[in-house]
Amino acid sequence: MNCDSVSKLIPLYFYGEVTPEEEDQVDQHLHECAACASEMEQQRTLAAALDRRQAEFRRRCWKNAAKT
Amino acid sequence: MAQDAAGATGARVSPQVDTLIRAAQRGDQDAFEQLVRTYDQSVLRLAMNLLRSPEDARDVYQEAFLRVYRNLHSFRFDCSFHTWLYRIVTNICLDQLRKRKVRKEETAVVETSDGMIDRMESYEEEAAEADPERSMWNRELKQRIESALVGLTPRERMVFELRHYQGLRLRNIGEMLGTTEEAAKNCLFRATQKMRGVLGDFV
Repeated sequence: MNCDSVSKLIPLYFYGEVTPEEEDQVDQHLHECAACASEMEQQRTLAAALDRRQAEFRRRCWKNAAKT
Repeated sequence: MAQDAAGATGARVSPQVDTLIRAAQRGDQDAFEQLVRTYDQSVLRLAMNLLRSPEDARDVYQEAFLRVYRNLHSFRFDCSFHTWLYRIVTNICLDQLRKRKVRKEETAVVETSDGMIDRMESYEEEAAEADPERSMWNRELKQRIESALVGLTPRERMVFELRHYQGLRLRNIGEMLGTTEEAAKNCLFRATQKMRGVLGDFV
């Protein structure tokens, strides 16, 4: 599997939406390719940033609900 | 990732819910109310996550259960009730998001008893007290995330939110949105690429 194919699969791989065969191929490629491994890291960072945003949004909603 | 308390995503209706639906279809008001109570929190949570506005979420919640009430007779048990209900909710939310696109507005603020406030402000304030440099970073990140989300098409945003925040499988999301799993995969890919593009060196 080349970098282009892996790049297209990274978001799906992250969300567990690839087939077992694709998962093995992406796993193997990520061990061998620093550029794609870095792209995978970016995907994780993006997800973490979005989770923080969500956590804050929920906290704010609870805070507001408690005030009213 | 959220998994609906009322039933596993994509699963067939549980015998208990099945009984409630059949009773409600026969006109049993109590059964309908119980059905609403079973799903109301997950519907509200979904609408809130998708629209990020308590007011809009409440409107969607009311409209969704009104549509359920009017159309329950046409539910044929050929998919899970959860999928059928979420399809109604996502359709109403999609309409709302499309209207916002037309109005070019995005709910970056929430209404509180103190007036309109930025929904991530408190996070920023607390971070500022702890570490000014981090606060600046958070503020910039917040702005970029909002820009990234606004830049998505309503459908991309819907697929992304349902997958990332609701934890639904793309197969179910495709089913809810009346499209294929493959199309949902493409949507998720495009949404992720756009967001990574806007977030740039933050990710």
